[in-house]
Amino acid sequence: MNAGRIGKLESLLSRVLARKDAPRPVRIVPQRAASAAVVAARAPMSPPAATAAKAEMHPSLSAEIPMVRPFVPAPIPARDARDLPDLDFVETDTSTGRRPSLVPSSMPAPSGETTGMEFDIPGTPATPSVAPSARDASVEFDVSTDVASTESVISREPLASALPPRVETPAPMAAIQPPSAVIPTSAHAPGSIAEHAYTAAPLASSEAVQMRGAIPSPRAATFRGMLQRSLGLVAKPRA
Amino acid sequence: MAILPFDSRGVLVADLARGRIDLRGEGRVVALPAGWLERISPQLAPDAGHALAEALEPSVRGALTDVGGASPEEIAHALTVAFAMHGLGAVSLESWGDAAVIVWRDPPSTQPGFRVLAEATMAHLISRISDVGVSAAVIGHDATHLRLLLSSRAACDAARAASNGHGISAALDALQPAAGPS
Repeated sequence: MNAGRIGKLESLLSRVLARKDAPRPVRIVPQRAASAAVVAARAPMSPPAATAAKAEMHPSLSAEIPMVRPFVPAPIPARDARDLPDLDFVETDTSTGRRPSLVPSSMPAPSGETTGMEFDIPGTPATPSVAPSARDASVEFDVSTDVASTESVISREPLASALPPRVETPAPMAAIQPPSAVIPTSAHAPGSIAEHAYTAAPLASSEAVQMRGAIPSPRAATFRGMLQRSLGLVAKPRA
Repeated sequence: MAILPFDSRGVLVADLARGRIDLRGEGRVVALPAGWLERISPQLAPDAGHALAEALEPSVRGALTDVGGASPEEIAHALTVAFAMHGLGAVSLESWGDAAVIVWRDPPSTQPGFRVLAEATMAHLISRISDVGVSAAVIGHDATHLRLLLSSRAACDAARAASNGHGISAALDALQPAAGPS
């Protein structure tokens, strides 16, 4: 059949198959190419096989050839440890030197295929599919003091996205340090600061206040003693 | 040393999927805007201040081994731990003569509405942890600090009135030791 006849036949078939609202162009291709297209459409192929099949197809056929894709088991939600199969841990047989493989007793022997079985190991993310970088964003908690700037921060995840079930504060956090600086009056400009300051850091007072008529008092050994002395204060009589 | 080491790891857990925030040792907490607290404080104090103090007290006591014998520095540390865990700021102490002053750094607000709550909270908390009944009066403030006198009710009232518009200097100048010269 020459090209002219093929063209007329295509035109005829197009008119026969056409509908009012949906014209259907028809292309006649060699039998071999058509067979390749049908096979490609029915059965997923490996990438090399799909490329070869596509090369044999007629240029007018642009069907996508499904390819075999690696099987990725879907993430399994966090489970309780009780859901896990019992594991039989067998030590190496010293008489034979063989070490049996560790196979969950309630599982069939491995067939070489991915089973999708996951184990929740304490301390590991329950949903490993969540990228670590996605954990950096929204709630922050600052428990810093002047002594040691500390950060306890927590979750950083858009609410609308897949959230890890539970996000905790990260481990590397500096603890709040006990106050170490006791600042006597002499450490400051005369009259510019309290007689004694008990603080976690050098006091940065913005107030330049002079004590008038203050009576020197011993430094408080205990907080209770400090309060007791303060309770001894009374209002000056008005002039 | 009466201070217990404070491990801040895992203090706050934000379980956003469930809409929960949990504080270690305390359970569920709610993060509310500081501005909201400022607005409702005048209506809720002093009862809300007392309740807040009682909520903070376990954290303060948990930071110390011997509350009764704790030094001012140790109390400042314990108060800071409790306040910081709750997002309420940090605390230090000062003595001006005999006057004990507590400095509240980075409180949720320093506006007048919040100062009422601050006084009630601090007086109740200090009284409970020290077993010494005290009142508190804001005698100084700026954008990031509140200074509260810890003393008797009469002394606090006098200092608060004297400081109104005149600052801590005027407040302390209005006080004298009970046995001192007039």
